[in-house]
Amino acid sequence: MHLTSRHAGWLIAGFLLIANAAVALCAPAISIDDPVSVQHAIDAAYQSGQKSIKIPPGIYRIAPAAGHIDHLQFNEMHDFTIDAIGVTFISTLANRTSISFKNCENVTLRGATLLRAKIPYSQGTVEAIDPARWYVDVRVHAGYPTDCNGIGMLYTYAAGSRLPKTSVPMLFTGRAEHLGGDLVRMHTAHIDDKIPLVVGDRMAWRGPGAGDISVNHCARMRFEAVRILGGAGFCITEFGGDGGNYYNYTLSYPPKPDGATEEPLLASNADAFHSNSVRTGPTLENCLLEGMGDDGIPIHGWYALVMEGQTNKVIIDAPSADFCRVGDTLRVLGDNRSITETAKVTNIANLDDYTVTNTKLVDCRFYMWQDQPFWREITLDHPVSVKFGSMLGNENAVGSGFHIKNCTVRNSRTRAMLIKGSNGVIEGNTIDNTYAGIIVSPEVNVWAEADYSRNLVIKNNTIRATGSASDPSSAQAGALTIAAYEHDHFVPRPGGHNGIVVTGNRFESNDGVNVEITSASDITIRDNVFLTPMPQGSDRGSKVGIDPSSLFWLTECDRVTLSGNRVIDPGQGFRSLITASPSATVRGSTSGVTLVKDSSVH
Amino acid sequence: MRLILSLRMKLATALFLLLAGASAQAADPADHVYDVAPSIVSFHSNGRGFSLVFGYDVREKLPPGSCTFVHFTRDGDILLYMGDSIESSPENWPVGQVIKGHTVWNHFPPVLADGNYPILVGIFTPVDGKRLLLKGIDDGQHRYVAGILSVADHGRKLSLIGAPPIGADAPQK
Repeated sequence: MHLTSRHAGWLIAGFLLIANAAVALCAPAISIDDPVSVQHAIDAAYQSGQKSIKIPPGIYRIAPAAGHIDHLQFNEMHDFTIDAIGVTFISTLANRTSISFKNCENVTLRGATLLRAKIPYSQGTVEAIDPARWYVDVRVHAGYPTDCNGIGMLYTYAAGSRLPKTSVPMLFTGRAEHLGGDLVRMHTAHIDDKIPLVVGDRMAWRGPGAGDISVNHCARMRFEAVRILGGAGFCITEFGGDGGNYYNYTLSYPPKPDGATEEPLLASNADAFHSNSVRTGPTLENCLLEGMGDDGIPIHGWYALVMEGQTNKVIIDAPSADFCRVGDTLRVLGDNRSITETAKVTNIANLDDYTVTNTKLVDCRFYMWQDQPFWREITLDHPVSVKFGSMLGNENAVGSGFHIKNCTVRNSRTRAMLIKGSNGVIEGNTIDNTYAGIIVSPEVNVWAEADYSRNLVIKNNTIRATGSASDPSSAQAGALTIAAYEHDHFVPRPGGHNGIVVTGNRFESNDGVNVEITSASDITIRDNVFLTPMPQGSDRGSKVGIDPSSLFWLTECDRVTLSGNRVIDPGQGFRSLITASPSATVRGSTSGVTLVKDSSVH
Repeated sequence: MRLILSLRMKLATALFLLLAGASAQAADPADHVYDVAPSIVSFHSNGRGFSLVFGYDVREKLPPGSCTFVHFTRDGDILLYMGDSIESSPENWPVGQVIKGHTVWNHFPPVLADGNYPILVGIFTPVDGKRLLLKGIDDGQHRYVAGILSVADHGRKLSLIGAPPIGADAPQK
């Protein structure tokens, strides 16, 4: 009998079947009693050529395998699915990431629930307030950590509530003084007399921690029906890589710790999601993110610091080793931090032996704290005008192309969305009871986060009950802010934002300015509804020149068009529809926003 | 990373706090010289990170309403307004003691060149902006050299030189 190609195919298929069965039989067993068995089983399945693994439903306490840093750690994994429906992973180490993916592509994690063995933050009830308002004495709730050194921010909740207390901002504290037992004196910056903090309020604060899911230099990853209950750091963070990742997950509160009678007030130490320097932005769909200790959904790149420049060669301190690639387009921020020009990268040379001659500081804390500078000589396709202190943003690595769809972000004293990418869509989301709604803004001075946004569509979202916390110094004062504020002023025209459409959104009961626009051009705000805006008076932005009693506030912007916007039953904080400075050119400033008295017209 | 850096932010917030000493004016040369000597009583470094403890050897009562300041300088320019973490006000400092602050952690930025960075300290009265005359090496503006941060090896080697320390904990050379 001749062995035909068809016969050979069957033989090979049969061999593979037997081989896979053998591998399956020999694969390491997953045991709830073995904290590294999940890692070993997934590794074995992947290395055997399987395309997926199903983790048996159950609760697994996990720990890093030998030689690993993170609890579960996957490098260079491709085209693989981890089916963890019904599975709970409890990370046993507080200072390690729960699950990390590095240089992976087309990997799916489905259905896992992540918890921490020890709740990663703490909380208590206010027992006394310094009459001079420089400290607060807090009784730590039973079952919660009392080792609260190194905390930075205090979040306040009314008695009996898990919602951030109205009108109380985050309070900054530099020192926790143990007074004995579970009583702690939180030394704070001065607490303004107007802030309605009272004995009996409850407070929560961050603890030490690490990320929960890290997606480092990956592409086409999928996270489906994942739950993080009690995030220890950035709950999901993606950094670098080609991106195009998909996220469908929940961040919520963990169960009460052992011995506790009070429910947790915080759901995470830090951001619910964080995208940094990814080349194709993320898609977040049907996510529920609540109670986070820092921003909800930030998407940004980084600015490189110019050390010196000559003609088309520029020496930079890059924020990361792979800040840019040949062919990328860099945006130059000039002295006033408007975009002054763009140029393409034609060559990149490492300058490991670069000798710094500069003796001046730059107004950007990131470069004050940087541990590892990445000196590069960038060659551009034409000469640019730069000097020490200029900033370069990489248009190709800011998370552009992102899509945030049908997500809910709620109940946090932080910003729900903080957008710095371009070519994105934000649609159908609900933002409820956060410090601010959607912020579109570069932020150079602290974290060197890039960049201005172009070509965004913000449509059919509901932004509700933001802006209640006092914050007169905030330059991001709106329920929706499209702005830039650097060197203690709003960046003058032309700024850098361009081509943003805001339509079909519903703004409900937001305090202070509802729409703030600066440093932008070609912005369209049409057919939005502002229902019962400004229910109370607000001080937000008043120290930086913003009128918090004006529904729209605009400065340093060109070609802003307002049309078809309706305002229904404004509250006692409302004084005017629009305040526009002489440096704002607005079409439709009288006809584009209409005050509707009849509350039945919703 | 932002979480990790947030700790640094707190520390550096103190470092950045713009003490009113920024706008303090030089004192009248005829002013009284207080028998109070500032110094750095402890210094440690680890890579780009370094820690300081500031102290004042107090042998005379200081006037009410005075505040301390710390300037991190180069070529006469103030690069940073640092905090000294001394909790009590100078007017409350007991005579005959060395008043010390808590440890202040800092990070030497990689964007600064190697070289010497004087750390200048002093006391001023916010009401009139005048700096008090103290014991020590005066830079001509009634700021006193607490120490000089010497930076070498592309910012990786930090040491403290200059003014002798007070107290028991000598700086690393």
